Parts: sequence; structure tokens; C-alpha cells
Amino acid sequence: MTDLKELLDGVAGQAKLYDGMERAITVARRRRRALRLAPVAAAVVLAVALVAVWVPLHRQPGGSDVAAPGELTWLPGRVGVPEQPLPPLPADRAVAPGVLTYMAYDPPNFGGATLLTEDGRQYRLAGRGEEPFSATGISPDGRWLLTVRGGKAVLRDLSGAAERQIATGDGMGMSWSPDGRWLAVWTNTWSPDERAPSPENATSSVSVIDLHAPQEPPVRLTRLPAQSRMIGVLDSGELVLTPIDLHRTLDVWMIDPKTGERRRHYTLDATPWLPQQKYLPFTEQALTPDGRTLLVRSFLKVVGDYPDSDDLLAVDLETGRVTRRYPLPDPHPLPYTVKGPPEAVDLSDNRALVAVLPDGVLLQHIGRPETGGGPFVIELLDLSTGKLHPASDLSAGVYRIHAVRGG
Amino acid sequence: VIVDDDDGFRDFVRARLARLSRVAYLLTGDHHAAEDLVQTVLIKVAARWSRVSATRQPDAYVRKIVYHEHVSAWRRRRRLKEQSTARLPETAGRRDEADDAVRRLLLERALARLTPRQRAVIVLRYFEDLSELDAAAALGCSVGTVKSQTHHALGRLRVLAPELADLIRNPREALV
Repeated sequence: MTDLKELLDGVAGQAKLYDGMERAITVARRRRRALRLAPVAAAVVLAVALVAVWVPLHRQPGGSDVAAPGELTWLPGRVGVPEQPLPPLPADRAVAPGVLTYMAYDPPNFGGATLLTEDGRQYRLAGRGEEPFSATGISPDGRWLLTVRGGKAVLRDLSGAAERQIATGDGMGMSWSPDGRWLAVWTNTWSPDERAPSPENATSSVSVIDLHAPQEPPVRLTRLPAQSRMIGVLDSGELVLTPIDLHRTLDVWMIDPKTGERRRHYTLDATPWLPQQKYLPFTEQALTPDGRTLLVRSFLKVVGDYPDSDDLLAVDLETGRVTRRYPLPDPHPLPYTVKGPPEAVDLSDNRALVAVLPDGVLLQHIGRPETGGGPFVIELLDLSTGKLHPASDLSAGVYRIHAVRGG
Repeated sequence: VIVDDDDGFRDFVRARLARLSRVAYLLTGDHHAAEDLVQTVLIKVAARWSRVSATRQPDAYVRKIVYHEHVSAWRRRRRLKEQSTARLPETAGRRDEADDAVRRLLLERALARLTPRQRAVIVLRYFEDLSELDAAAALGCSVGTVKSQTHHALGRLRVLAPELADLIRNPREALV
């Protein structure tokens, strides 16, 4: 019996072969060439004109406007804190996919946690005086919101009303796979008589959830490499772990998400890449979505005479060699003071790696508002070109960024 | 150093061009528009091929561009002209008189009167056989939106082509 699919097959059967492949290659080459040669001034004029047209037509409520460059169309170019009290996140219905969470510093919304969604709306996750979240996270597709409060990790499906607790513990961290399928929640637990809890004396476990089957209970892994920490999850579901205590070598383990078995193990000698740095804990590490390249960044901007320590380095896991260096230039390397609540804080100018997505690496940059945006700017580092694009400016009323989609 | 991997792009396109052409025709219902859609998509993919291939999910990326471009192109075309349905039959005969060609024409005419989003969701769910989650990813919307769009699209198809009402049903409903 014919059904809709067969009918559609029949309609599609009338299609011709629309072969524009060679023309596409020619045009793409010409555009790449033009991009390399085009005067910067022309690009600036065009961008200004586009923004001038786009902003009045597409202004969103809540102060979010201007689509971000590149592929991050879900990230507004600018985020401001609404002057009206925010509604709580509805518990009984869906909202648009999540974009980021932050804390505001001005009344009436200061002190709590706020969720910004893709449609420009903002919701109060926790108000002032309520127990604060120790961590929040948003899946790369924006569908899932993870909140950690009071030692409990709760996963909310923003496309509906489902919510459930997925892990408990004293200290938690999370990672999403770049494709958004896997969520891993790292839990540290200390015995009640532990006086000085630290990662070294914690009992660690990881709860892994396949978000393609979110109703399934999490797989809890406890047989982990000793003294290790999680730096990511691959699209395959493999957990990526490195040791807590690092010196001149860096171990990277890939862990099976179902059994906890070690699938791969790399030992990398960091001497050639960070010759002046004795201890690697002062580095930030992540893996590219293909699982082949380790991204390493030193927190120390100047180490001895080594001027490029703040670059992001791409290290091939198989060879242990640096395959590319991504400069992260910073024209305003001075600390900045953000007013309360509860009191003003001095933010040291720096960048933090937020998430590794198929579109590139998301970084949070604390800058100086009077010289070009900020204090918080979300940047996208395009790994194929090495270009750093300002993607979102959170300059008005934001006290702290909790999480950006994918992190 | 960025290497332009034209051969990789060619291999990718050759393996998928037939499928891409069929989807484009289903989305547009017109050979010229379908050709334009495929061309636009291929140019965009070629320009970003190094990034697209690096994602390990080039199909999902291309699919997203196809559906996004489809909606954008429809908006541009709408400003220029009303869609013509002159070549389609004004009415259909009874079910037992309708051969496959007539049913296809009826479906084409009904599809042409859906919104681009409704049309896209029908193609994604019932031609490409994607899950609601994957369809939502391709359209850049929530699963809830896909569900409601599917529901409305199927309902509208039944109204626009009542002769096909018993054929236009949710396959999952049919399995129950």
C-alpha cells in the first residue's frame, strides 16, 4: 500500500541531477582569493551597513541583539541584563534552546543565576538569597541544562519539562561531547572526617549519560586512573582523562564510556612545547572533536624569556609534536574591576577555554570595556584559519559568566 | 597552512549529489529552484570544506545548510512572485481513478502550499527518515517545534489533498 514516504519518493524521482560541483569549486576558490585580497575597509563598511539594517529589524527583548559572526548563529552579538524582574524558568513547559548562564550585578536581578535562551528571552534559575549553583552547563545543542546545587546534579530538558537528578557528590564537573550526544559528570566525594578536601584525596567517579537515550539511567564508572581528572568527552563517548599532578610529561587516557576500560593511552613529553614551564598544572587542556589533537594553553603569559606562553598549542597525540600555534593577542592586558554584589572584584585580564565545538574553540575573555568591549567577551577561535572572532559582548550588568553552550 | 582539499570535496559531492538533488526538488517543487538551491549549498560547502570535513559530520552540516538556505530562498522568491499552481490539476478524481502520477501531482500541489518550515519537516521526517531530534538539529529548532510542525503539516496536507488523506498519515501511527 502506498504511504507518504512512497509518494514522496515518487515526487523526488522527478528530480534531475543538479550538478554544480565544478562551478562551486571555482566560485569557492575565487571567494577565498577575494577574501585574502579584499581591503579591510570594505569589510568594515559592509559589516557596519549590515548591522545598521539588522539591529532595528531584529531587536530581541531582554537586550540581546546582533547575530554572532561565523557559524554561532545561536549566540547574540550582545547580551544585556533586563531592567525588569525576570520570570523563573518554567517548570511545566518547554523554552527555546539555552545559550548561556550568568549572574547579574544590578537590581532587580542581581545575585542569582540567569539563563539566556536562543529566542532572546531570559529566565531566573535561582534568585538572590537562594542557595547558589556551584556549576551550570548547557549542552552544545542548547537542549539540556545541567545545574549543580547542594551536591546534586540535576538535568533539565529545555525542550520539555522533564527534569531529573543524575549524580550526587561533594565536588562536580561536567563535559559534553561536541555533538551533544554524551554528558559526563565527574564527582569527587570525600569522607566526612576529611579536614582538607582536595582532588588528591577524593574518591572519584563519572556518571555518563547518552542523551540519545536520556531516559536510561547513567552509567557510573568508578575504576578510573588514579589521581586523574576529566578534560573532555569525544563524540564516540570516550572520556578523556589526564593526571592531576603533571610535570614534564602528560598522560592522556581515553576511557570506554560503558565499561571504564582504557581504550587508548598517550604519554607526551611537553619539553619541546613548553620548555620554560616546569609544572603543567598551569595549563589548560582540551581535545579537538576528532580526538586526534590536544589543545594546550599555558596560564602564564610570560615565563622567563618565552614570549608565546599564552598561545594555544595544537599537539598531535600520535607524534607528540606541535602542529599549529594559535596566537591569542591581547591589546588590553590590564586587570579590570567589576562592581558587586556583594562587593567589587578585580578581574585579572585573561582568557578561559569554554568549549570545543565543531565550529571552533569558544573562549571567555575578560577585557576592558573602555577599550573595546567587555568585561566579558565570548570569542570563537577558528581552528582552520587561526582567526579569533569576537562572538558576543556581555558588557552591561554581567557579574560573572557561569556557562556557555557546550561547556 | 590551509590546504584546499578539492578532491575530498569532489568525492563527497559525487557520493551524495543524487540524494541532494532529490531533497532539493522535494523542498522546492521546481527544477530551476532546486538547481539554484543545490548550487548555493555546494558553493557554501566548498568555501568551508576544510572546516566541514574536519567536523566528522559533514552530512549533518550540509543538511543544515540545505534547510536553512531553502527557507531563506523561499523568502526571497516570495517577494518576487506568487507561486504558480497552473500546471497542476484543478481537482482530482475519485481514489480508484487516481493513478500514481495524479497522486504525485496532488501531493506536489499540497506541498507547494505548505510553509517552507512545514515542507522541510515533512521531507526530513518522511523522506530522509530522520528522528525528531536530528530533524530539530537540521532546522535549528527544538524537538517540540518539530513535533508541532509535523502535526500541523500533516493536518494541512490532509486538508489540501483530501483524496490522499488515508495515505498521509504518520507512519508511527500506522505501526501502532
